Amino acid sequence: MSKPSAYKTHKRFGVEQEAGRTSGDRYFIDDSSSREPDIGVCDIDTVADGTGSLGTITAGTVVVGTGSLGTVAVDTGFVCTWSHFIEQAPIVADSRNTAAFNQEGQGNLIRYLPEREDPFTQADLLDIDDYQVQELILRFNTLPSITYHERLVDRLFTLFGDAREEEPFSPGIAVGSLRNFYNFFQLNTNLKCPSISLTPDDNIYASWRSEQNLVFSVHFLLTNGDVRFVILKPNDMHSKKQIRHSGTATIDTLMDEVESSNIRDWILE
Amino acid sequence: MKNDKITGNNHVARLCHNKHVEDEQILPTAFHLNLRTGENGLSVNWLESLACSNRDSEINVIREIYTKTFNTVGTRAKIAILNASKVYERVLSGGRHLEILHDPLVDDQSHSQMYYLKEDYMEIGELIFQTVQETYPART
Repeated sequence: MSKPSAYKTHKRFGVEQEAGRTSGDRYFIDDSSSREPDIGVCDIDTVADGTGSLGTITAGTVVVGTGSLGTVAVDTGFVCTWSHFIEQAPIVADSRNTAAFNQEGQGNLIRYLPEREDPFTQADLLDIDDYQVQELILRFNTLPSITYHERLVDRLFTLFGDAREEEPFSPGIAVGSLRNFYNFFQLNTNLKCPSISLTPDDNIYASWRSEQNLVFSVHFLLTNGDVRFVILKPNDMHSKKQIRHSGTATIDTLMDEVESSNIRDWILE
Repeated sequence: MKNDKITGNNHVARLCHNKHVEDEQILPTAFHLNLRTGENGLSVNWLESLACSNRDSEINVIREIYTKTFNTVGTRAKIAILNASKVYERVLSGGRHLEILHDPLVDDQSHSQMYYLKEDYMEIGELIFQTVQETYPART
């Protein structure tokens, strides 16, 4: 995968204080000692210093994203490199630290887009979209607890190609939707492998089905953690009728719907 | 004639692009509207309006229409055949609304549309998907 041109002129940001952060900020975090993105994308609703207090990250283990998108443990000593800067957001640098972080090459949590001096072209945008999508797809390979992760990656790349064949100037798969899909699997590693397709506007649509006319389908929307879902299941009291249940949720509450609908056993491995 | 309601034992065909097909199987997103482009109705073709003598002939005509209409018809794309009465029965039984109306175009006289899918697009898409009667490759 080639480095997108829009990221040519990035620089490593220094450190800033926590002030100004808002709930739901999105960060990309990784360890430059490995080329494999081992943490991935997470939304941050709260930041704890390991003792439960909110605010500035300190040395030691940092817990990120204990809010709506679950918990991701991040060790200190990270350096963010270009390969992790895949956010499609305004150019913002946002790092936090304490004295322990305040050294060159020490841990940063960064959300940013790079500086750029030459004109931005549509081709650049496509490069970035391509890059973001492919990066996110490959992140499924970093979830070894999902036994079928290779199959997922293959399927997603197939869909990416299908969508691009249909609309050559589209991103292939909507990045926000794919990110939500990835985050959902990061939170739920014991799911059976779903069938996956794209909606007409290239969002991810995952379905779990059984031969008993049980259906659980999820439309992963573009925005932070949002999903729509539908559950169809037989009506045990009326064999010719179905029970239908649909609504909206977020990826961290979706399994609550599964639990309340008693469909857990055929969704989970 | 435009806006004739397609009912009873009439059939419609829907093109299911590659991205709506997995392992040769059509998936429910084939019956979703494109919300990004503000699509109002789901395009289908009314098979009986083609006045062919059998299904194979109808499918061949539909393939020709797709070739003229779409820039790309993928190698794994499918044609889904739906029976109008089955679609109405399945969708309307849950209190949903749906209409299949003839909407002929200059170069596609069999063109028709399914309306009222937008509100509950997921549920209705799943229900229509459950009524798929036959499938055929969209390309020979």
